[in-house]
Amino acid sequence: MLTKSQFWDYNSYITKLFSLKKMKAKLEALKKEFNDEAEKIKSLVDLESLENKYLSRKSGVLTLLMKEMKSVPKEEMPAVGKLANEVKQFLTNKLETIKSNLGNKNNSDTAFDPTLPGTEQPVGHLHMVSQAIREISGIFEDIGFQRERYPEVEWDYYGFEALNMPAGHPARDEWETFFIDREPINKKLGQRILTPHTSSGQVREMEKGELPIRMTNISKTYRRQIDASHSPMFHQFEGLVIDKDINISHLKGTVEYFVKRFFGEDREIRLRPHHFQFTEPSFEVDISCGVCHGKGCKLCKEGWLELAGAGMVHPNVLKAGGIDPKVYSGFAFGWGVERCYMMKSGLNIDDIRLLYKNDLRVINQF
Amino acid sequence: MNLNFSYNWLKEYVTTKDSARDFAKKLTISGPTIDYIHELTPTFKKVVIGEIISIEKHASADKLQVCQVDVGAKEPLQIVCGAPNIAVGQKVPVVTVGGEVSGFEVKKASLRGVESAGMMCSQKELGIGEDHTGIYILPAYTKVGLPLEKVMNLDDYIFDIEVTSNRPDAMNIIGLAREASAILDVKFTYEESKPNLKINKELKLDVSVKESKLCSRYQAIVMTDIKVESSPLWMQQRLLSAGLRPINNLVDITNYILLEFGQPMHVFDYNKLAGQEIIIRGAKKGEKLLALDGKNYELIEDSLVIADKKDPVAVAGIMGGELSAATDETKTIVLEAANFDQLSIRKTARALNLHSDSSNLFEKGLAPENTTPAILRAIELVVELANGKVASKLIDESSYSFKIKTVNLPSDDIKRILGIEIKPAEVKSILEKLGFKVSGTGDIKVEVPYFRNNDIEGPHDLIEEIARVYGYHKLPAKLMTGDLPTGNDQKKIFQQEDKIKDTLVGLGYSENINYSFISEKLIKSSGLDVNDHVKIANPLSGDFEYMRVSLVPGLLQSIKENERMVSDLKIFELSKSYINNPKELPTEKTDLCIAMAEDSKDKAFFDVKGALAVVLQKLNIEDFTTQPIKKTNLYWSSNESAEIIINEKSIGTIGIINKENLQLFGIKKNVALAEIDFSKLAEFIKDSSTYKPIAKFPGIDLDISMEIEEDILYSDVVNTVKDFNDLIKQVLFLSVYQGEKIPTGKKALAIRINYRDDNKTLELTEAQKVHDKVVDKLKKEYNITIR
Repeated sequence: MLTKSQFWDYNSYITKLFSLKKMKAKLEALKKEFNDEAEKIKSLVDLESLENKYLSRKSGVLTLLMKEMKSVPKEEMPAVGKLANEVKQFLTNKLETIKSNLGNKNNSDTAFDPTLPGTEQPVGHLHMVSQAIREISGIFEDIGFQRERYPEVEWDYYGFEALNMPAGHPARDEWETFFIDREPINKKLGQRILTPHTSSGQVREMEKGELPIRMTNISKTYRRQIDASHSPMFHQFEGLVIDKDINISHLKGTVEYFVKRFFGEDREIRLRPHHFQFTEPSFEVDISCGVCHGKGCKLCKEGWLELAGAGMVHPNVLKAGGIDPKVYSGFAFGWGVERCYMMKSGLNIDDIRLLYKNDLRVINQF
Repeated sequence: MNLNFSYNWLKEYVTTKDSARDFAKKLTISGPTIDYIHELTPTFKKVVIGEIISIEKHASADKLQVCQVDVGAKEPLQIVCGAPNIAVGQKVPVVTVGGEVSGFEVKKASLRGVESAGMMCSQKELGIGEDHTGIYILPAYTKVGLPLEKVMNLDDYIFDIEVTSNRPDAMNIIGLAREASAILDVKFTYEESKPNLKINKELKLDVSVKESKLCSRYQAIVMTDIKVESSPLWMQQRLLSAGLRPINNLVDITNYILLEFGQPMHVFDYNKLAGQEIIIRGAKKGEKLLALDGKNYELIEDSLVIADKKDPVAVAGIMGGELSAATDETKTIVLEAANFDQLSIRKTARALNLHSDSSNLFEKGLAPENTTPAILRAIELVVELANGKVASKLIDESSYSFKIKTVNLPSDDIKRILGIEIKPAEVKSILEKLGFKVSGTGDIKVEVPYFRNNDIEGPHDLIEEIARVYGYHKLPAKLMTGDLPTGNDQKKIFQQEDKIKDTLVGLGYSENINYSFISEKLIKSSGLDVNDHVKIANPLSGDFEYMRVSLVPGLLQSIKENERMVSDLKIFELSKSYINNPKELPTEKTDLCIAMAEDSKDKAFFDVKGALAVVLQKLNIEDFTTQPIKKTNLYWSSNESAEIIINEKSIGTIGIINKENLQLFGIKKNVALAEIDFSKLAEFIKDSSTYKPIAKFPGIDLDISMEIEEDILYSDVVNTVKDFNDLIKQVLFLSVYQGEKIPTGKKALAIRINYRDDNKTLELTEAQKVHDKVVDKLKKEYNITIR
């Protein structure tokens, strides 16, 4: 006699044995049925629905059948599993074959039109200013400049004082500066300001105490001006070179190298005398107008466009940075990134503030 | 500072045959920049000088007058005119019928029933000046009937010149001519005026300078028998070309001196000075002055004023007073040429918000020596043009002592800065043309002229003078050859930032660059605290009052601006935020924010999360997890945000933005956002990926489709499965579903488990065995049911 539990085991064994046979039969039937249907397939659309019918993850005929496999006795599982996998493989192969056949005679049903647009892909856009910064810093990297980053909220000391503009100096008026503190809060450093120019990085770079210096500093800068050609936040680019025997010809060579690479071989530069407190001599760098090529037109000043401010680093600035002006000399130059990029591309953006409105209809054009 | 000057005027003091364009080119590359050249050509046609012989009221128009104007023809012209400043006897420019001004033709017309055969014009209509307040009244001596272009010299060029702030000595005709003579290497022909200073009938004037520190020199002279009238046309012409309005001969002379010498001057009516005294002193508390601009100014205590015995009559160096000003009736005047302290002028002008051509010059720092040539020339002109007679000695109250500044210039220094050698003779010639005195050979001694005393400090300043006049264009251009700088720790950061940006762009996200500024309104709309922000003391407006502590408000603002225009709204910003440190510079922290706006918040969230996953993958960060945040904070929707965790460290938050905040921004869609602290992220970034050998043996995928309590996290399920057995190599998400056919409180979750044996081909049976145990474990742990 069987014990009660043995009986139940036996009973379940019989049931399962029965299911095993049934399962095998079902798989065979499915395979045949699929094969018949597959022979009739004429188009990719039909093929897709056939694939879905049998193999869809949720409701595919084969998928559902495989779920039933759990009723098969454990010892039979490998055999059924194998068969099921074979069937699945058969189905997959067949579908592949039909697909490639259909592909080979693709114009049997539908006309192939290569002029239809391609499938839409996600497209993002880098902000124009980022693109400009990359291009500019890349050019200078090629001639050994290293890009640095300095504070945007800065001490008056680095923004003015160390740049040969002591408190109350009228030259400070040329920078419409934002202040955090109305009065100095630090005896040496003065008050906190939003840096109005990247030149505030000059003395910070010198203070690192590593020579020679060949650095670029590209950063957000801030001035209290807002109109079509001024945004209160904009980007400036600064270059600083300090070494023994640096002279004006190196400044000319460096700026010329940049201009030819960035604007094109046909563009010329000229240095025009100017005045900045922190350089001596000081220049403005002009590039020949790309529209009239020096003849003079509406877009330029008598054939030239202002690009940058530049000059030989003032001895007082070198001293502020702890560098002996009798041994070392250097030059610095700086310009607005937005303006420079617009000059290159000939972009006719009539309002610079548009760049920071982040209208995707604008950003996505670049 | 940009100034407009006539080329003809400059040519009075410098001999040159250059065309205006050549002259401008040469000056620009070696001296002050000439930004633009305006050729002066008449823009009018058929304009003749007329004299008004009668004026009658128009019968049917209050504001119109009917004039008879003699233009030298047989009959006078009848002209209807509405200008307020006309009077019988005046000489005026008249456009005759068929002529043209301002681009339109003048025809015979009938104005309210009265015939008008011509038109009288303002300076602006003639295109020679800015004034349009009335008809341009010409000097009485002008001959009737002559064409206007014959009496005004219009054969000229006007230069728009930029002179830098350190060169007030060149902000005038004489200074510019001196510059030009050095640059063009031609003769400088200026000579100081020598008027006859003989006194006919002496009038008393007492001048006392009480604040000698702020007024280093005060020169004055009394002149009498003055005839106030229009200044001659040649003078008017020059003032007009510089953008100044001719008034009368006295005012015009002082303005002319301002332009020619860069020395501000003033004219007082002698008889209106109480006690015939001039006192230069600090203002007393409560003193007021009605200035020439017609406004009443309350003077700031101790700011410098010119006063008579009783009251202030001018704000020193800035503007004169109305009550002491010369008028048409003035007979006796005091001419003033003085020097005032630049900082004091600057402070007062700012405090009063009163700026003039005079204060603009004084603020830059003028040489006290400049008053002498200026006042001598003014005396000469008053004699010549206003019938003036000298009635006092030339008073000169001065307290400064001029010391000649000498600068030693080592010859090596020139080569060191310029990169080339310049011949000593050429150095000497350049410096002397600019007014310096040179002595010695080799290392030279240079004496600085008084007008350059302020801006020449040391040898570097002289080198600039030599270099620019020699010509920067003649210097070679070459690249540096020295050592390259060592090590740059920032480069890696820039590269990482670029990689993040490029990855996101590749995934369809567009970069935003928002202002670092933020308004109080945006701070509040985002649920942030205003007090945490760095505040700007002098913002442009409320929109720019604070420095942001988070990129989120800016991106939400951008979403609001874009959501109606752009359907697939995916944006990011990688930029700085500014964390307030009282009394110190704020911490400038780089943040990365990725955002998507969508109708479906699930779609938005998982798109952002997917993008984040790719970004991290590209930075070679193997794995990250998300830990749901239970409490509500900031702008995050409660129970719909999670910390982003790498190696058990949180680097930021990802989640859905709170509906209420979105409403405050006016955003209609749902917004999902990831906010990451770049410096925290950077800790885990690897330069390169680690190579994992490709599996030798195939694996087997087995799926589980389960029904599970809805609040059990997917990550919990994964964690349960992941480390269950060595054969389990990967757990993948397939789908999740709630709705029809799924009981309330449950969700349908499907996952795929990848089984693989590293040493042999895994048999299905073996995988199945483990898989069954996984299912059992899930049943036990989470009470799942298999679907």
